[in-house]
Amino acid sequence: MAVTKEDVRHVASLARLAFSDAEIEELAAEMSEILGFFESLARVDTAGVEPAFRALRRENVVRDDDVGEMLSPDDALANAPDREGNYFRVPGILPKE
Amino acid sequence: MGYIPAIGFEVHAQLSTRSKIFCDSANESGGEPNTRVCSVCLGMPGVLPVLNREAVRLGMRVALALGASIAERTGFARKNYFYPDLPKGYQITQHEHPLARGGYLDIDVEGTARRVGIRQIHLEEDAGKSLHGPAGGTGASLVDMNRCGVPLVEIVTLPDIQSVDEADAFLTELRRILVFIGVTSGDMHEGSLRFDTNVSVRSLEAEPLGTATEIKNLNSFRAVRKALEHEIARQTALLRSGGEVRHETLLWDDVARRVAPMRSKEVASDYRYFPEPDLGDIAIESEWIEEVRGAMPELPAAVRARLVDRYGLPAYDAAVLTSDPDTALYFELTVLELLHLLVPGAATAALPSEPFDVAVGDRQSPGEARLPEGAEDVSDTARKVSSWVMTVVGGYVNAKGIDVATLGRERVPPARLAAILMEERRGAISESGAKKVFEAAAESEEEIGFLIERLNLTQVSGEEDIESVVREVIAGFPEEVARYRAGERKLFGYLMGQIMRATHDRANPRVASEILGRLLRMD
Repeated sequence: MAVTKEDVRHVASLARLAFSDAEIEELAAEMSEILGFFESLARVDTAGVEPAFRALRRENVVRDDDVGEMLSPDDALANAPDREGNYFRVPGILPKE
Repeated sequence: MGYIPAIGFEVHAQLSTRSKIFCDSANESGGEPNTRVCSVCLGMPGVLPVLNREAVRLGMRVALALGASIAERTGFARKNYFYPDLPKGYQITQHEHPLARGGYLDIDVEGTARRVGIRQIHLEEDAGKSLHGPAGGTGASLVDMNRCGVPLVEIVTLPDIQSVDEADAFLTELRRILVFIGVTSGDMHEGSLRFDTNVSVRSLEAEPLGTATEIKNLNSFRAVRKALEHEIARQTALLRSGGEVRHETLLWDDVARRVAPMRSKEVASDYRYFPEPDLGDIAIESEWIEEVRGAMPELPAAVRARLVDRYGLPAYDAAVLTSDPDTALYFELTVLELLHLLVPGAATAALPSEPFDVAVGDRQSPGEARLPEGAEDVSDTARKVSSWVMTVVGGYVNAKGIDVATLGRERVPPARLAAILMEERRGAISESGAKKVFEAAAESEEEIGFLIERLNLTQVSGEEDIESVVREVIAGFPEEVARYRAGERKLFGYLMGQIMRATHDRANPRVASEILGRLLRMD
């Protein structure tokens, strides 16, 4: 399956990534190649085989409902580009209508 | 041509766990921003989620309460989207393998029974909270991650609801169930219950459902009602005029009280779900289901039925008393205590001594307590208590801004209210005296008998004592007495008032009125 430049632009916009036209062309080729690998896997006959969603088959890994140690607001905000009081400060998210 | 709506809901309820769903940060509402966070719920690189078993248990409770089938295997998926209150860039939710499917909720709308089907019930994590517009008018938004990772159960219904009243009845009963089984506080001011709805309208002649629109961001029953009324009217008018409804997602604006379409960019729902690689599946053995079923609290419908069948309450009273689990428990324990006091020599009620200290979902049902042997007039006693709980107790907690659990825990436990009502039943205090004792009891730890003395409320029931007062009143108001005897019957009340005043409201009114009647007939 060939990945088109339009596909790349769509995926890029979902991931909030910006690329130049040249990069998009390059990525379309690379992504087509990657999907090609999977197509060879798709040729394997899997009739009657349960789908596996992950490599590890561990199940029921759960914890008890206990409260543990939390971060101080200063630690929580240490990597934030911007803060106001103890809030993360981000560019406006709901543009005014 | 008539039109009929088809309404479905996605109800999100915050689960009352102590810690969050995938990390051990505290699950508490309120508090200073970003004080209940850790590297996991903040989405720091390299961290791994670990599922809180209690969230699964509470989700299973919801499934059992709604008669849904719990999956043998269930697992989580990533829903990818960008929003500043979602630090990982994806929400962990369930997609192809929800916790439970199917089930239903029966509701009653003005005497008509309706069944609303459940499509599925699944678990997911809540997002953080964004504050828009502050930040000194710079257009920036502020984000608090305390809510990020709070466990949610999402209940998705079929579009079986056909009117706004049915929608209201469904949500009211669903909320009541979730609160009674102790999975959520149900507090809508805190956002612990939130609704999205989908609504379509079709002509009565048409078979298939019409095109639906979705309305998001509904945080109160009132908002649901307003939004549905608005949207049903809009779609009906559109269809009447020959137009077509477009599938779109609308946002309810609670301030402007109208829906507005979301911008197309926000609608682009390409969530690229895939199985969450950081979490294993959950296998649910039947033993686990039976364990959860065995500890299942009573559903409100069962409590309502018992209040009618066992205590002979009118359906209206039963519905009001079961609007929340604390009131229902307070009522029933008070009746049981009072019934035990009324049977001379009956063993004590042996009811839990501190019932309100137990979390709602872990309480033992008072339905398991037996009525005392030889209990009489159960229905009269229950009606008396019901009227007290609805008016006096309800009025008090509203006036004081406390909840019934606080009243029952700290101020007037059911046994104490039963003692007050017993004093009234014995004739030791009048009904108005009993109300005064109740209010005093709520403010003081003194014994009921002591309070009655201190407030000077001991009712005078002795015939001789009362008769002498009645005679004084008759002597003091000759003109009124003469007019009464001449046929002006309404003056009886006036004379009674004089008796009550002379005794500072302490005369037993029943005894006093008998004596007054007798003396007025004489001479």
